[in-house]
Amino acid sequence: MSGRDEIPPGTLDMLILKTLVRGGEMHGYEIANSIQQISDEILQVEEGSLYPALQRMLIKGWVTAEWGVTRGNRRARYYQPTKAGRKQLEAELSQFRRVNQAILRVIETA
Amino acid sequence: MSILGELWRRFRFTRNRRFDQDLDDEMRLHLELRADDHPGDPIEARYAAKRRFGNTTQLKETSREMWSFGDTVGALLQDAKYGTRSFVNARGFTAIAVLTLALGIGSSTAVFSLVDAILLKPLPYPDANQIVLPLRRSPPGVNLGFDEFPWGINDFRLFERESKTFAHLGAFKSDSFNLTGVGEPELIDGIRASAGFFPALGVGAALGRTYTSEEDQPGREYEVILSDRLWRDRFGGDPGILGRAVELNGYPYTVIGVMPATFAFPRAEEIPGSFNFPRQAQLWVPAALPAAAKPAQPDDLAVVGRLKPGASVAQAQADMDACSTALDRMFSQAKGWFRCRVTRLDEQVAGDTRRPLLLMLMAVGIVLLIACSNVANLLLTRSFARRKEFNLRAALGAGARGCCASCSPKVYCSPSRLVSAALRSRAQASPW
Repeated sequence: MSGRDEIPPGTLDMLILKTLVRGGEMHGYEIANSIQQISDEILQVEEGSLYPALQRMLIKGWVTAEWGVTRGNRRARYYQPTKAGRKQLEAELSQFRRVNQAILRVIETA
Repeated sequence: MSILGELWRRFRFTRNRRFDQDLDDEMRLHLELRADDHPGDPIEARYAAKRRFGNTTQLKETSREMWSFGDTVGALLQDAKYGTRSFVNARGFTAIAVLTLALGIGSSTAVFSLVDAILLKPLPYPDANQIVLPLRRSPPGVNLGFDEFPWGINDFRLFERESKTFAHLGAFKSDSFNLTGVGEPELIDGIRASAGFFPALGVGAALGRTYTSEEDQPGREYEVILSDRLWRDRFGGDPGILGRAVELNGYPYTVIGVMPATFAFPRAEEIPGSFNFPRQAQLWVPAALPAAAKPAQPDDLAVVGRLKPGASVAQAQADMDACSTALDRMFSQAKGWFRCRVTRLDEQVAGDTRRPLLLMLMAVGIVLLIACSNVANLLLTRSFARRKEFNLRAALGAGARGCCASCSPKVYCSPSRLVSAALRSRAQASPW
């Protein structure tokens, strides 16, 4: 388990949205894998928690879902970001950057 | 807009019966794909995938509650259904509980509305606590059967001249008027009031104006102010009524104003019962009192005054006592008949009823409390009869809180929800 870190609380939505915006239509497993691979296996999503998060984003209207078939010919639910989802991502990213910079400034000031 | 959209999505969700199935399929696919990607022993791979995934049941539960709009409404409906059913099953109990509460609530509401009307609602006059009634008292040792009686014209003239604590003083007496020329002739209760009457009460006309002291002179008094009710009932609420002549007791009176709907001074409760005033005055005409009358000529005048700003009732009382002494000197044969008691109008309205009313309010409050505790007792007794049911609930995993709360049908909202949640998660967690 060493070398893997839990994602900071409150950032899961942002990570999912960013992944979807970058990768287009994806199902849950692909999202989880994508997050882990791109973060060089450092960020570990408790994979199950993706699904409640996806449900919440469905309610908010940030993503839409449609059933499709995987390459392995299995039934899967594919998620796609909506316009509102992209807007939300922008908002969360800018807020995240602002907070992060502030934190960095605090901890790196000698 | 986004809230509406969210509501719409939630609403659509409540009609989606495939939710659990879909979520199941989705999660199963995830686990299978993860296991496929895991190198080595397939059984070990399945376990590893599950470990990485987390608690499926709990995740499903969380996902479902995410859409809790459906859940809240559903739970509420379920609770309502459950509550109704338990009421129907125990008709006697329900009847007694409802009756007890109805008695308690009904009596306290009735008394409270009385208290509200008499003690709490302000009088419809600005700064009503500045309005006083200087009432004439019978001499000590003389028992007339009533305590207050009217002033004469000379008394009132002296008050007008000599008193120093009143901003306005008005004299008034009741009279009835034959209204003719407008539909059916009708005998109408009205008031003859001196010019100080309206300023003392601080109320102006809603339409038109009230009369001046120049108009309140003998020979010039043929002007009338209508009550809102009379204006609407007899004149159809005609806004062009001003300046029109109406016939009262055979004389033409010019309508110069209409009072607001709230104004009907003096109402029965605003003046001592020994005065002969109508329950509700319908019109006001100038009293046109002569400057001086024959000594001690009785004239059924009541007086209302507005205290000068800053003047207290005690100061007004002292002021009036001085006037009484002056009157005693002027009419020495009637010495002792000019005593005055200055009473605030709001106290006159509440009168002697204040204490009994408050006592009654307290009494019905206690009755309500007793009713509530009786119903609580009934519920407690009933909960003993439901012991077995609670044991079953507890065995199925209902929390102590859920069990306690479900004793009372009035707090069904939380308990049956807890119980049903407990039952549901049990059902989902167990494989059979």
